[in-house]
Amino acid sequence: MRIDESGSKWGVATSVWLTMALALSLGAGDFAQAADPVVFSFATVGDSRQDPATFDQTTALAIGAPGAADQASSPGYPSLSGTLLPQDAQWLTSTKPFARILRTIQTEKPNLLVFNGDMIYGYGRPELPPQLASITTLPTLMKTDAVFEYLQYAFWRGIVAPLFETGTYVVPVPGNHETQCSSTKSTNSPNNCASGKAAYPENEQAYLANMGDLIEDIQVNERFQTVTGVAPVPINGFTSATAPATGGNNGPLNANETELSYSFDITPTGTTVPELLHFVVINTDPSGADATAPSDWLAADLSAAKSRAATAGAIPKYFVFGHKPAFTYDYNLVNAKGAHQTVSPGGLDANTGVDPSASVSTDGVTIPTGGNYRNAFWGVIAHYNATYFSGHEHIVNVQAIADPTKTSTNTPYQVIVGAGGSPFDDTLAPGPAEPVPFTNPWDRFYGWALVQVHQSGAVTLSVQGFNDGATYNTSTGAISSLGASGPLQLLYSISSLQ
Amino acid sequence: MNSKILMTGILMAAASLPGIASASLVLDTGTPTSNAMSMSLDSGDFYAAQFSLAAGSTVTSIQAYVTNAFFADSPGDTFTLAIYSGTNFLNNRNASALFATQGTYTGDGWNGAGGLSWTASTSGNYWAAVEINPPGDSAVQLALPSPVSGGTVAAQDFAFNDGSGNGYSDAGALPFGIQVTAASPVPLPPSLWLFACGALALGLAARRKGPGLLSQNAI
Repeated sequence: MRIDESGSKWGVATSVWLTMALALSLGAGDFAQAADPVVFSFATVGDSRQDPATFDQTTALAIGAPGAADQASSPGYPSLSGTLLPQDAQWLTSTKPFARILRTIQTEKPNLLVFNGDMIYGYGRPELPPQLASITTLPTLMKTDAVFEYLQYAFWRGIVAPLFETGTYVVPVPGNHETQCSSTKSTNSPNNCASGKAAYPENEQAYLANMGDLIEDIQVNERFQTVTGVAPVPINGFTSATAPATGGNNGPLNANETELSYSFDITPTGTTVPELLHFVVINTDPSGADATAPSDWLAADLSAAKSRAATAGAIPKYFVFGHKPAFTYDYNLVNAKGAHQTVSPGGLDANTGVDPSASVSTDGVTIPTGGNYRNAFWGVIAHYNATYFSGHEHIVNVQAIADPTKTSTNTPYQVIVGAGGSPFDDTLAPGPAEPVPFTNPWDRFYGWALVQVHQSGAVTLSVQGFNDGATYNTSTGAISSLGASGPLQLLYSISSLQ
Repeated sequence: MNSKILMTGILMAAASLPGIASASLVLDTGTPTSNAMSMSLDSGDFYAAQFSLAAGSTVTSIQAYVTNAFFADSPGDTFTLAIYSGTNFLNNRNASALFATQGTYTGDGWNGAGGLSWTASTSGNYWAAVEINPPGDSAVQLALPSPVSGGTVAAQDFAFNDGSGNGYSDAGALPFGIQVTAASPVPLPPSLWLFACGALALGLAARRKGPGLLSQNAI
C-alpha cells in the first residue's frame, strides 16, 4: 500500500516535472526565436598611420641610456617625455593600438574590414626623384618619396595579412595621405608639389600599385569568396568606363579614377527576406578635385543598385565609405589660453569652391545643391538613407545628420572611425592635459565600428574602443597617471542603422 | 513506537550531515546603473574581481551581469566562469585557473552557473573571472556594463585581460557586476556527535523490531 501510494505520488510528481520541463522548453524556444542571428558583418576603421614629428604624447615610451646602470630597469613604460618606438618611427604605423584593434576584429570574425584610408603617412610625390642622379647613398635613396611610401605600404599590408587567414577580407579606401603630396613633407628636390597639399595622379597610381590586388580581387574572386564565404559582384569603377567622370558634381577630376572609387554587391544567405548589400568606396581626395565626393557618379550608382534590388525582390542596404567626413566633428579643441575654439572644417565641408552644378538628379528626384559639394553628397546619401563611414578625423563619432538640401526627411548616420592609431585630433594642448569640460568621453579613444546584418534584415552598429591609458583630473584635465590602455568598451550602440 | 524512534533517528542523522550550511554572498559588486560604459567580453577580452574565501568554503554559484549590447548573441551562448588564486595572478601570462565552469547566457541581466561545489583549500584572496574560452563559442561577444552600485560585498580589486600577452592587469580596470556565493564549512565535532546519536537510534530501532524491519522498509 505504501509502495502504491508512493508510486502514485511519484507519478504525480513526475507529471508535474514533465509539465514544468515542457513549459521551460517552450519558453526557451520562444526566447531562441526572439534572437536574430548575424548573417553578414563588416568592421571599419581608418587612420593607422603614425606621425614622426607630432605623435601623441601618450604613445611615447621611456628608454634608458645604452649601457647605463638603469638600462635594465627601463621597461618601455609610457612616458610623456619618452620617445617614439623606433619601429613606428621607421615605418610610420602606430602599431600598438592598431594591432590591438586588429586582434579584436579577428576574434569578432567579420566578413570584411573596410579600411577608410591613411594607412601610410605618405604625403610625398612617388615618382622618380628629380635628384636621382645625385643620390649616392642607400639610406638617402630609401627616404625618397616613392621608395619610402612603398615601404610604408608594405609594412601595413603585412600587419593586416593575418585577417585573411581568420575569415576577414580587407577592402581599401584611399585617404589624403595616400593621394596627396604635401609641399612641406616631400623629400623630392626640387620639390614639385603645389604649395600646401594636393592630390596627384602619381600618388593615386602608387596607391593602386600597393592596394590594387585587393580591389581587383572583387572582380576575379581569387580569394574574396574563400576568405569571406560570400561572392562579391563588381558593379562600377573597375573600368574607366564605369569610373567617375570629370565635371559636374564629381568635381574637376584630372586623372583616371578607375579602382579609386568603386562599388560591389553582396547577397547574404540566411536572411528571412532577400537582402542586397551594396558597398561603395569613394575617393574623397581625387587628383584635380581635393575634398570632394563624386556625387553624380554615386547618385547613378545607388539608383542602379535600387533597381537591381527591386528586380531581385530584395531589400537594398547602402554602405558608403570615404576617407573624409562630410561634416567635421567639432570636438573640444582649446587654444593656448584654454578657451574653446571651433574645429576648422576638415572634411567635404572644407571645400569652399563652388560647384557649377546646381542640382543632382537621381531616382526621380532633383536635389538642389546650392553649389555646395558637401550638400550634393549628403543629399544623395539621405535620399537612399545610406550610411556613410569615414576616417580623417582621429576620433570616433556617430551622428544622425539631416539632409541640408531638405529634399529628404531621412537622417542618415555619419560614422567617423578615424581612431585607428593615428595621433588624436583632440590633442593634449595646452597640455599635457585634456581640455575640460570633456565634450565627449570618447574623444581620446582608439576605436572602430562593427556593422552586423541580421537574419531579419536588421542592421546594427556597435563602436568599440579603448582609451589612451591616461587618467585625467576631471577638474583640470591634467594627466594624473599614465599607463597601459584600458579595457575594451562599447562607445556607441545603434539597433537600427538603416 | 518503533516508527517514532526510527523517524527520530533518521531526522537526527539527516540534520547532522556535514556540509549543509547556509550559503551567502562572498562577492557582490552591485548591479550596473547604465550601459554607458559597457566592456566587451569576447575571446580576447576577459575581466576579473578579487574577493576573500575562508578555508573549506564551497563556492556554489557564480553570476555575472551581462548584456547583448553588441547584438551578436543568442540565448544559450556560453561563457567561462573561473576562479584563480589571489597569489601571482596579476601580470602573469601563465596564471592557470583553480576552477572553471561554463555559464549560459539566457537574457540580459544576471547569468552564470549554479550548483557548483568547488572548495577552497586555504583561506585568502581569490579572483573570480569572466572569460570566453573553449568549449564556449569563440564568436560570442557579450557586454559587461559599468559602473555598478548597490553591492553588498565589494570587490577588493578589478582587473582585465586584453589578450596582449601579459595576463590580467588592474591598471585602468573598471568595475562590473559579479556575484559569488559560497557555503561556509560546518564545524566538524558537533556534526559527528549528532550523526553518531542518529546512527545509534537507528540501531536500537532495528534491534527491537527484529531482522525483518529493514528489509520490509526497503521494498
